[in-house]
Amino acid sequence: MANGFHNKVLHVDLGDRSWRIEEPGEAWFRKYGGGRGLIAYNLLKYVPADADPFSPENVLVFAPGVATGATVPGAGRHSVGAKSPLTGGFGEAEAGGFWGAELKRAGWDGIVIHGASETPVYLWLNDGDVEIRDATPYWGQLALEVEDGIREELDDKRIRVAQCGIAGENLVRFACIGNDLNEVAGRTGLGAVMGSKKLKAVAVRGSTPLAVADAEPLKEIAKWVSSTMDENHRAFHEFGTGAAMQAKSLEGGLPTNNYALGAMNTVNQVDAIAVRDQVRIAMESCFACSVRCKKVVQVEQFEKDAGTTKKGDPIAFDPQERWSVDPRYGGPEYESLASLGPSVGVDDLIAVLKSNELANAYLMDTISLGATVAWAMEAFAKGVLSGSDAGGVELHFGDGDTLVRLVEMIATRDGIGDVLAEGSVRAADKVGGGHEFLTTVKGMELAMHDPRHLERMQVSYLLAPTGGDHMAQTGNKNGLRNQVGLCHFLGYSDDQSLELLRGVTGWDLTAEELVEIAHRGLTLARLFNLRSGFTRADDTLPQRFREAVTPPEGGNSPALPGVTQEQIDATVTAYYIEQGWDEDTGVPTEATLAALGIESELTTA
Amino acid sequence: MDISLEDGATVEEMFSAIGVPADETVRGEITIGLNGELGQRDTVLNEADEILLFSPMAGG
Repeated sequence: MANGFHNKVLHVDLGDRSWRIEEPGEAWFRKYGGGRGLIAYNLLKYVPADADPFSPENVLVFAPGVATGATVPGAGRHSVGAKSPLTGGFGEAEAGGFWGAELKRAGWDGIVIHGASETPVYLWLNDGDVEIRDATPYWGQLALEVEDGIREELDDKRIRVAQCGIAGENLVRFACIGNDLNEVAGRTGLGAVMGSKKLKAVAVRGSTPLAVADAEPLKEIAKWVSSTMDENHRAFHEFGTGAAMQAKSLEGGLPTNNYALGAMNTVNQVDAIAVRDQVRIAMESCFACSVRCKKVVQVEQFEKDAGTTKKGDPIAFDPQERWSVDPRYGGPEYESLASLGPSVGVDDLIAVLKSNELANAYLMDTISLGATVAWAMEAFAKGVLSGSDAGGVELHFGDGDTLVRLVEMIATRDGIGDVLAEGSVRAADKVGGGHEFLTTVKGMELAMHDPRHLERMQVSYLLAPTGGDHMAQTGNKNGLRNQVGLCHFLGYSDDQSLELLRGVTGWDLTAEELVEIAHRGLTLARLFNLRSGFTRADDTLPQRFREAVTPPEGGNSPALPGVTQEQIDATVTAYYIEQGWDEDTGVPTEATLAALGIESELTTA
Repeated sequence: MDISLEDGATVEEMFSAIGVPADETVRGEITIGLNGELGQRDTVLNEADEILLFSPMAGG
């Protein structure tokens, strides 16, 4: 009997509305794990080198891993992938929540969407039953309306929904795919690929717990997490992410005003400590996780409506009576707090929360959203983007009201929003300037960790297959977690990860084998990027990060020097060598491909 | 928890007093905020100083 997987990958062709089940076999799951492995394998197999990301030739892959759905903290992760409309290369993002575990409980190891529908549809997986249904009523609706509507239509409140959002329908190049309303596969524009296929949602309901080989080590690990919360996960448990923003600012490494500055003197108005003290009503968990690191925030527009939470704590209100913020959309984590806060110079907490809520309602990646707005604000300040270009919208750093307005304009491609919906690189091309202050790698905006401040981020930004990605997935530890479906925030030692995976699968896995799984996934992603036209020249940092970053006026944080070409060259070459890729070109060598057992059909397209 | 420090005590001595493990990999990673500015482990503390300690966190 299979443990940790079902040997069932669903392939759906939206063009002719057919579907089939692929059975890759146990050896395949042991070799690839899932996640990036499943994504890269299918992109290499099915997507032609010259395919437009928005064409029916692109495939969209929903990819949990072998651990996803096992009842152990951190095992609620899944990835989504496609050829990225933002970078033109390997697109992938990861999400938590419950959707991925539900997919496994329904008996599926992954979904590969081929082709495109002419009219809006959604996919309904009720255990092993597959149905392609009309989604016309949900097209143009916000995430919450879609989730509630599908649950009502199918008369089951426990259905889990992943969806593309209005931004995805409108092909915003950094649209994301949301699940469970408060989780997103955020980066690389996958929501727009889903929108291009007219696939509004994937609704899932599963009734069978995932079979595992030996539940004992999982119980032990779960017990270890809950009994050592203070020692190992206290900060996540208490704050989620974003409690150390003041530290970044003190050290001169807080992305501020489009990464021109390294600190914001009022950062303590928008960090996770401010969120906890002012607007947070609860912490929520993902599947089977006791860490509970996800913030839930609530704001009422008017004081008279504020009242108290179920626990009797006061609910916040907007003193300026501008907006309410719906707790069903969760709350902002670090990347969102920073990208919609200091990155755009905004220290108005309620504007940060509102723009985050709208990003979740329309479904856009908050990192690329905030970074693209930050770029536009600098372009406006420097006259690259004029008031007439912007249709009369004034884009000033620090203006929270305009930030909130822009989020909706981008999602609906209204006015200047239509230009910014293309992402910052294409926006610079369109307005004909501002390239020197882009903050992108391979076309994707950097996350909110300054590589001039955190040197260990340099390798991730330079070499992540997705571009300006901060998750250090270039390393085999994080790379492995992606492929098996384990959260990066769980402080498991390598031995614990090994025990966990042995317990789930029953395989006599070795530490070396786990490293190989990750190495294989990263190498496949590299092959896809090379096929898409990327070269060593794309493994670089833009001009902005080659300049020093300085404190703001009145700030005392240190100035940090820019990253040099020598540093970049050394980091890239060392990584190529470590991965067994040609040290000059980054092309995986024949020996490496053979050692990893990569199928020739994946390397010959 | 109430703790007392002698006059002229440093941040490092405060670490010991409040039980921060005497492990370089732990202490070396802590960011010290002292009255809104970046402090160092050998910085001498004064009466009524406001001290914030941050452990590194990534992700989001």
